[in-house]
Parts: sequence; C-alpha cells; structure tokens
Amino acid sequence: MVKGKLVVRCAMVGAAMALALALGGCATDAPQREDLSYGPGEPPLMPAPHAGRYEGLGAPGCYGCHGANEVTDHMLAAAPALPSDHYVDGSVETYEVFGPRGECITCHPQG
Amino acid sequence: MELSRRTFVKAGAVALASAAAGGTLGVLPGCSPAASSGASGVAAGGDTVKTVGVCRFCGCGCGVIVEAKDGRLISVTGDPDNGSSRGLNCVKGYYLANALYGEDRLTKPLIRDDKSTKGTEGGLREASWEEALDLVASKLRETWKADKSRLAFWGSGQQPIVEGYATAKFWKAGLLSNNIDPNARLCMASAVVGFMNIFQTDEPAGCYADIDETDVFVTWGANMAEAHPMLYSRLTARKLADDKVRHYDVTTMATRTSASADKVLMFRPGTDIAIANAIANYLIQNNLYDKAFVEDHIQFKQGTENIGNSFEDGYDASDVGKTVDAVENITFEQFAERLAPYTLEYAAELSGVPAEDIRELAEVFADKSRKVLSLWTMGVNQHNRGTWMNHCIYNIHFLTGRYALPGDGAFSLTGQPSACGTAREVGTFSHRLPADLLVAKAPHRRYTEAVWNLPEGYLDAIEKPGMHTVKMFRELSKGNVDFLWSAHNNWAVSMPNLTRFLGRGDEDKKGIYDCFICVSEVYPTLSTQYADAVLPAAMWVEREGAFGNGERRTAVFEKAIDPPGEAKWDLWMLMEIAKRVLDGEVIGGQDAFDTLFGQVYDKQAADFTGTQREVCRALWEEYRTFSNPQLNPKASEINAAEKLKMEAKQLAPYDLYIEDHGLTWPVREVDGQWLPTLWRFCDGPQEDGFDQLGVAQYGQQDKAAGVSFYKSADQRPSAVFRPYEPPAEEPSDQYPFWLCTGRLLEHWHTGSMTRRVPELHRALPQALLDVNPADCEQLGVKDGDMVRVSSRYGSFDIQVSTAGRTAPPQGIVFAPFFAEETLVNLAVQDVYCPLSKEPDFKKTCVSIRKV
Repeated sequence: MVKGKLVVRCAMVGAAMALALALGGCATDAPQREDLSYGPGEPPLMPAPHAGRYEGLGAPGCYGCHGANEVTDHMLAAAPALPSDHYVDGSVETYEVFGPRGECITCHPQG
Repeated sequence: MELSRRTFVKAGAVALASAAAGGTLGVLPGCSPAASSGASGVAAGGDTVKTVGVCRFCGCGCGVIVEAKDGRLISVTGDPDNGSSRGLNCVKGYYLANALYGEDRLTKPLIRDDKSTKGTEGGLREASWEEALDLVASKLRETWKADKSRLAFWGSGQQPIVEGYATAKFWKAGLLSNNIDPNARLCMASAVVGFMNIFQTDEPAGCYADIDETDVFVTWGANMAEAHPMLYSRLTARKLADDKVRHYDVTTMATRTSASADKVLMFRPGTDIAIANAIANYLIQNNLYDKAFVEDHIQFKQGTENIGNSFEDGYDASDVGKTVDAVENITFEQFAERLAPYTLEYAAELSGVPAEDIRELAEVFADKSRKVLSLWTMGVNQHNRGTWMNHCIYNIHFLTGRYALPGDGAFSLTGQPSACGTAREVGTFSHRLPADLLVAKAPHRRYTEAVWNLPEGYLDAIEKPGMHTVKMFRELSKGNVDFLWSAHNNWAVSMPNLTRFLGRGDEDKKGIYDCFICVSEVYPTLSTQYADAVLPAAMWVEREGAFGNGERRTAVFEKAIDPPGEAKWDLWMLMEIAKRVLDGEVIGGQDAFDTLFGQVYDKQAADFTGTQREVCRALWEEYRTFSNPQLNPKASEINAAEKLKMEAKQLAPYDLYIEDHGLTWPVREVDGQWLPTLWRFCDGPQEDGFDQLGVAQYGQQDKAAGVSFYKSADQRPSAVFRPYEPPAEEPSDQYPFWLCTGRLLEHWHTGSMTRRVPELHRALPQALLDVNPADCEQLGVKDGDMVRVSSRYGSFDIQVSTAGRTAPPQGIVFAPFFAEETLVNLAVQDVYCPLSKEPDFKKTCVSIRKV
C-alpha cells in the first residue's frame, strides 16, 4: 500500500525505524545477499530483503535507518549511510536529503 | 504513520529549482566517479571509450554517458549535460548496459518451415542472411503484387528516428501503402489527435522545466513515480524545495505517485470527463475565468456525441463511426450552456469524488497568483473517450489562461523514448507523412513529393489512410493480412485481446498461422514464437540512432560497440529487403530503390555508402528539409503557396544534436548559432528558450499572456465541449471488477529486455494482481493465492497481493503487463477511443475466482 507523505527529515529516524522494524525483513536481522556486485555508475542494490518496506513506508522507511540526524549518521550498524552527495549542499550536516534523491527505489532496487 | 513535513529552507541550494528562464536542472552530483560530463568518443582512461547516449526505455529521454571497454559496455551513467535529465536517471537506465547481455541474444536469422509449430518455443531453424532476406522480401513482394491491402508493418515509438523515417518512406513512397502504424497507437494516439484537433499541430507547448517552475501539480491518470521516474524525481524535488507547492492526484487508485499528493481525488473509472467539465463549469459560473485570454486566443466548438463504442470490427465504417471527427463552431455562451449541467454535485454523484474536493481543485485553477501544471499519461489516453478527456483538460487551461507559459501549462507525458521523435514526427502512422503532414491532404502530398524527389501526383495513391493498429490485428485474426513485419515491439504480449489475436481458442488459427510474419528482434519473445522469420537486430548503442522525447528534445545515441554474432542494424535489413522488393521497379522513369535510398545505400555492394554517422547524417539532412523548406526550392514554393508554415518545427544540422547532448525543437538559427525552444508559442528571448522567432514570423505579439498560437486555424486553439459518456462496459454480476493494467518502475513494457537484467528481475520478478483487502475477504482469497481473472475476452492466472505498488479501492484491481507468463492482455478489451483508435487498457470488466 502507498501511505505516508513525502517527508525526508532524517531527524524523525526513531519513529521511522520503529515502523521499519515492525514490518519485518529489516536489515538488522535479515540474511544479507553476499553475491551482489555492481559496476561503476550502478547504484548499490539492497542486499537485505526489504519486501513491502517502501510500499508501506515510502522514503521515510529508508531514511529511518540510512539517513543522518543530529545524533548519528545512520541508525543501524548494518545499514549503509547515505553518501554526502545525497544531502542538500552535499553536506550530511544539513540532515536534509537533496530533492532529486528523494525516491530511493527509483535508483536502488532490491538485490 | 504521519511524520511532520520538514522545513526545507535551503531551496536556494537545491539546484533543481531553476532560476533562469531556461529553467533547467542544476547538475546532479553523481554517485559514481564515471558520472562526469561525457565527451563523444573520448578515451576515458586506459582503453575505455565514452560516448553520448540517451536511455533506451521510457519517454523521459534521460541522457546517459556510455562507457565501453574491449567491445563491451562497462557502465551507463547519467549525463549532466543532457537538458532533459541533467544527470538524473532511474534504475532501468543505470542497469541499461546489462540489458544487452542476456544469454539468449538473437545472433543469427531464423526461419520457421512448419507453420503448425507457431505458438511454441520450437520450430525455428538458423538460416543465412541471404536466405532470410530472400524469403521475407519474396513474401512481401508477392503480397504487394497480389493485393497490397493485405500487407502491414507494425513499428514502434522505440524505433530510432532515421530508421523510422526510412521505413515510412519505403512503405509510403516505395510500396504506396499506408498499412504502417506504430505501437505508439497504444499509448499516445489520444494525445496526438487531441493536439491536432485543438492546435492543428502535434506537440506540447511546454517542457520538462515547467516541473521546476510550477506551484501546483495536477496529475490526471498518471503514475509518474512508476512510469516516468526521472520526471517524478523532479516533481518531488520541486515539492521539497518549497512548502507551498501543492500536488493534486486525480486517479482511480492510490499509487506511489499519490504519496506526494496533498489531495487524492479518487474517481470512478471513466468519470474524469465529468470532473473536468464540472471544474470548467464552476470557473464560468463563478466568473473565475480569464476573459482576456479567452477573448484573444480561443474558439469554441462541439462535436458528434453519443458515439458508442468500437466493439465491432465494422465500427469505423458505421454511420456513427464515420462522423466521430466532426465538429462545429459554437459561441462561448453556447459552450457555457453545454457545461451548465455539470454541477459539482452532478460530477460528485457520477465520480464519487466529494463536491468540495472538486470545488477546491477548481479554485486552484482560478487562483492566478499561482502557476498550475497538469500532467497526464495513460489513464487519460488509454480511455474509451481518451481524445475527449485530452480536450477537457485543455479546456480548463484555456479558460484560466494557463497554457504555453513557464510552469503554467498542460503537458501530455509520452510513454516511449521516441513516440514523439519517430512515430509522430517522421510519420509512421497510417494517416501521416513526415512533419505533421497528412496523407489525406493534397498540398501535404505535394510537399512530400518535392522533398522526396517524386513525380507530382505520385503520392495520390496513398490519399486514403491505411489500417490503424487494432484494425491491423483484427484483420489479421480474420485471415485478411498475408504479410506482417514488426520491429521494436512485442505485439504478442502488448496488444489487447490476445485471446483473439493469438488464435487462442480458435480452432483453425487461420489468421495467425496463415499470415507470413517477420519479426526483427534482439531476444526471443512471444512474438518470435509466431514468426515465420526472425531477423536478429543490433540493440541500442550497437549502432547509431536518435530518439525524440516527450519535450520535443531530439538526442543522438552514438554507436559504442559492435552487435553480437550476425545481428545487424535494422536500417541495413530495411535496405536489403527494400532493394529486393523494388527490384526492377521504377519511379518517374528512374530506378525506384535508388530514387528513394540511393543517397545512402549501394545495392550492388549490399552496403551503405558511408559510415553509420554519415548515413544517419544524410538521412537526417533529408528529413530536416521538411522543416527547413529553404533547402529545397520546390518545397519552399509549395510551403509559401499553401501557407504550410513548415519552418515552425525547424530542426538543426545533425552533428549539433551530438555536440549539444540533445536539442528541443524548433531549433532556430540566429547569427550562425542554433538555439532551441523550450516554450512554444510564448514570446520572449529566443536565447532563453522562448519562441521569439516563431511568434515574430507567424504570430501576434500583443495578445494576452504574451502567447500566440500561430499554428492554429485563425491563430485560435479550440476549446471543444465533450460530454460524459460511460465506459464501454460497466461492472456486472458476471464481471464485477474493473481491471486496470500498466507499467511498474523496474520493467520496460513487456519485459523482453529488463527481465534479462538480473538486478531488475530480482527486484520485481513476477506480475501480481493488486487487490483491495476488503475485496480479498469477499472473494475468500489472501496474499499469495492464485486467482483466475476472466473477462468476456479471455482469462489469465495471477497471484494476489494486497501490499503491492498500487492500492486500488474496492471494485478495481491492477496488474502490470510486463510478464509474458502471466499475459494479462489475454483478458483486456480491444475497444478503442473512436477518434484516436487507441485501446482502453484501463477499464476491462472481469471476474476473479480462486484457482
């Protein structure tokens, strides 16, 4: 289902993470695919299963674990942090995701 | 879940928000070191070579930089210098290189000796090119000589421009046949007929930069997040850049696109015309329309009504079918009277959308302090009244003076990479000639004869339009087509009513078995299973080509690598077949083939007269003459005498499209420089993307809003009243659900390429039927259950999902059409819009039962 508004403030990481964990298949405890590789220019795949995550939570479901806020640059140890060029001004410290990067699965498919 | 909206105060830092009148994107920082500005054929380190390209898939037309090493593609990245995408891309584009390397690429010609093996995976044997070409050409020539009404070519909005141009020239001038149509008939025809009816020119006035400029988005039947990902990224970026930007999603079901909407107006299928008319009526009744704009620019019309539906093969020739295009002028007052019954309450009753929500949207259009951009795609076009709904959207924009202005306009999004550039611009439709010209108009035929160096009157033989797509396949299924050649499409998966067209349930399978079918392809598909001959084609950057995208941008993709095995450029196949079919034929006393193609092909040598670049350039320069009549004295004379205004779509010399990474037409020569146009009919500096030269040459400069619709009759586009008429079929006890089909992000059309990309296939491995949970409960099914979906056309089996990409309301189900094994089109109706002949893929009535 498509729910949730277009919200990309990484400071709301806690709430998003709680929901993300509730959905199951979260990266913390799910098996990671280790046979994935990608070439230059190809955006990284999601190595852990995230079925239904985006459909249920939209982009906040991604930022919740992979985005930065005032406390941490990403919430879960196993979650790769968004690179700085995904933030406004190319700076993680803005804690705000650069607009065209707002739709995560447009570039990052499930691995 | 409800997270608070962030305060996005750094709008100035968001490069996407355009500041200049050009309004283009800032360069997107790339993820990859390879995402730097590419240069044509430049060594990129080691022995790698970078070339300029444009994505192979959807109508966005994203620019890409292609990097190759040792004859193999190693990366595809966003091209920051392409004005359409400015470095953005989507998952299909990023993994595009892998689409060339499926294990089962077709590398040798194949021939089927036993027609009874059609529809199976077997029955094709390898052949030499000579044998395959001789066979295809002999079958075509045999049919042509016997009865040329029984031959057909089905092309594509994925066919590169010069190939489409050459194909149209061979078919129309070489064979004197109009039985050629593209698969763009399935996606853009309603928009095209709308453009022609309203503006007398087939083109959007706006451009993608409008997305960066607008204050309010209205998406009508458009799931941009899945079908136009790059443009949806621009939409969301614009929304993030300014808290005041609003988005209204007018749709029959919640989609990923609805997620960014401030309000979703979810309507009962087919009632969008009632909503649009209610908005127009509200604007007039409440004196909220732009009187100056209406007075200066618009004429009013009404047309034939109660036009029924095209269930029967004979619809087009029926009494009503023959009159569907008729219109008559009416006054503004009469127009208002026709709209008067469409009160908010009446539209609410029909559509299920609260009257207050319709009023709110009408007020949005009325508020001239803010810009409004309508965007639409297949929900509007694939509609039993698709052309009418196009009219209704323009009506609202005309009444509010919102058209052809930066950020303030109505924009029909194209489905395919070259639906505009090839299908529409070079004339591969059954009723068209290049550059908007029509076979039915004598001055248009004279002009084409001049450019093609044909005797005057030669094209009078093709005065009557040929078979449109649905007619082509309906006639084929009845055994009335003896030769079909298809290229750049997969009709056996993408056409509606496949139960009929594939002969399923048809004992003698007469049409599909008897017809000689030639398929040019890169992979085995369901279409090749019905082919008598398969010609292995070079794919994407294995040859040079060009696409024209939805914003009038023409972009070249350079050849980067060689095709595998014996796969060949489609243009070479066309030349070899044309030379065989036209052997011994003459045009005006001269050899027919040489008259048409002698400038690029040496038939004795069986090869082109130059490199691919030289061939593309030569054909482009010939095609470009259509929009540059000064290059041909006879054409120039006809253009002036008949007031054709052919310069209005002026194209630039070929090489500039490579150097500039694409240009939007018309491209104007000013002081030796070629300047593109972003906003058509809008007066302003040409160097900033406005249509200064066009308005100065043909238009008027003192009219409301600074626009001048100089291509329209009397310089006035038409607001045409169109009434609400119900869908072709309504849900019943027997078929209680609406079935809507469409695309999803990871797969392009029928999946013949994207399903061979492991990353894309893993992400979306199968087609699922999205069903509302309440409907699941009623049906006694749950997630993962297999169900049989049946219509009065046919049935298919599919797995149920309540957590898919779309969230249909009760009574509607959605399925994507990319999966050959699911083949949803077995059950989809082939009823089409009576004006555009585009099928309605969105409203088939079906039953669902667990299997």
